[in-house]
Amino acid sequence: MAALITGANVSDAWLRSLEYLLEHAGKAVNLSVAIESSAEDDGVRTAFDEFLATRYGRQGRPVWAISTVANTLFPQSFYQPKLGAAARDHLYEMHGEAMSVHTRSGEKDTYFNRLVAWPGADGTVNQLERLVEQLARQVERGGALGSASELGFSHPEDAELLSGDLRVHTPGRDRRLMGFPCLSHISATVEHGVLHLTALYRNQHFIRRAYGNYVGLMRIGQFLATETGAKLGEVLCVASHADAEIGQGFSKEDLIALVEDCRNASARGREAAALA
Amino acid sequence: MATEKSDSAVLTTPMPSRAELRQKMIEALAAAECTTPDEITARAGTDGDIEMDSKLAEVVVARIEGAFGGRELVKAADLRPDQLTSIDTLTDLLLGGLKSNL
Repeated sequence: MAALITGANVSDAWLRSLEYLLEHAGKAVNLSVAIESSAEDDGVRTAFDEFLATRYGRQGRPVWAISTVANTLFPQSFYQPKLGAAARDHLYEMHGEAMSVHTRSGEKDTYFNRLVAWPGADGTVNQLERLVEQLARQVERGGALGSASELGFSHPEDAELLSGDLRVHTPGRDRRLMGFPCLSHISATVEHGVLHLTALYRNQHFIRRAYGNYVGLMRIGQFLATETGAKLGEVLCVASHADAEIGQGFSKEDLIALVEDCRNASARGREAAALA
Repeated sequence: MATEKSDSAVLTTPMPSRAELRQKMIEALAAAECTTPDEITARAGTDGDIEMDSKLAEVVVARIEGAFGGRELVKAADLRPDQLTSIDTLTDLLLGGLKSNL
């Protein structure tokens, strides 16, 4: 049942998790993955990017690249910290323009759109902006623990909201068992000026999505940290159901070979760094 | 350049050359990235093409379409992330859309 995987960085966390899944028939319930740093192992990232680039999904379309998945959570190219106080407005403005085009592709919503334009009863709610303001106050106050435990199904307009929560799932609108949104909830906690995130996925695909999910979550964490004056701590990603997708376009042998390629690429990278 | 939405089926603005359209896209990309067109151009590879993030490509499409009366110049089927990867790829898509509107 529940398992906790800890990774020193995004690549390490993903690779250890995939290895765990392959040792357990490709699936797990309540898999928790703690990521200690937003850094990536270039060797692992390249090896996995190359693997995905050769894969096709439904209707013969290419499987999404890691960068595409990460962009659904946080479009990093829109965030320009050099703009200082204007960085967030620029981010939201760019996102709005992009969405006016993106929705024509058939995908009517994205995770990031749910963060900045959550469908509230009286119009859209920019949860991300509200959370930045709330966390900034917590960071400024300091203290041992700046938030209570997450509220499971809190509404972003709840005035009694004590912890920092970003809601993706919309009751009454999202009814499908599988599919968007697999990410239900993100909780943010500030402790002694360090920001930690917890994300809950009801279902997480470890080949098509998880690595990109981790990259995206780290981007959200770093954004919140930068905008609030905090330091980014740990990001914990909990998958109620984690799936290595064996038999869904990837054989177990494919994935075992992928893991080996990633491990070898990582080792080569460390050797090269040691010689440099 | 037309900035008002036209109700006619045909664009009334002159068809830009490939180079003119490419320059406008570079300017739109530079504005989105809060940098200069020269810095964007400096990223060109040996083939002269400039790679870009697919999300920025969506912003470029929005701005170019806005400059041409708000018409949808890129078809929905061509808006996949793997297709919106470079200035040259996007130029081809937008030119195709402009020609269809002549």
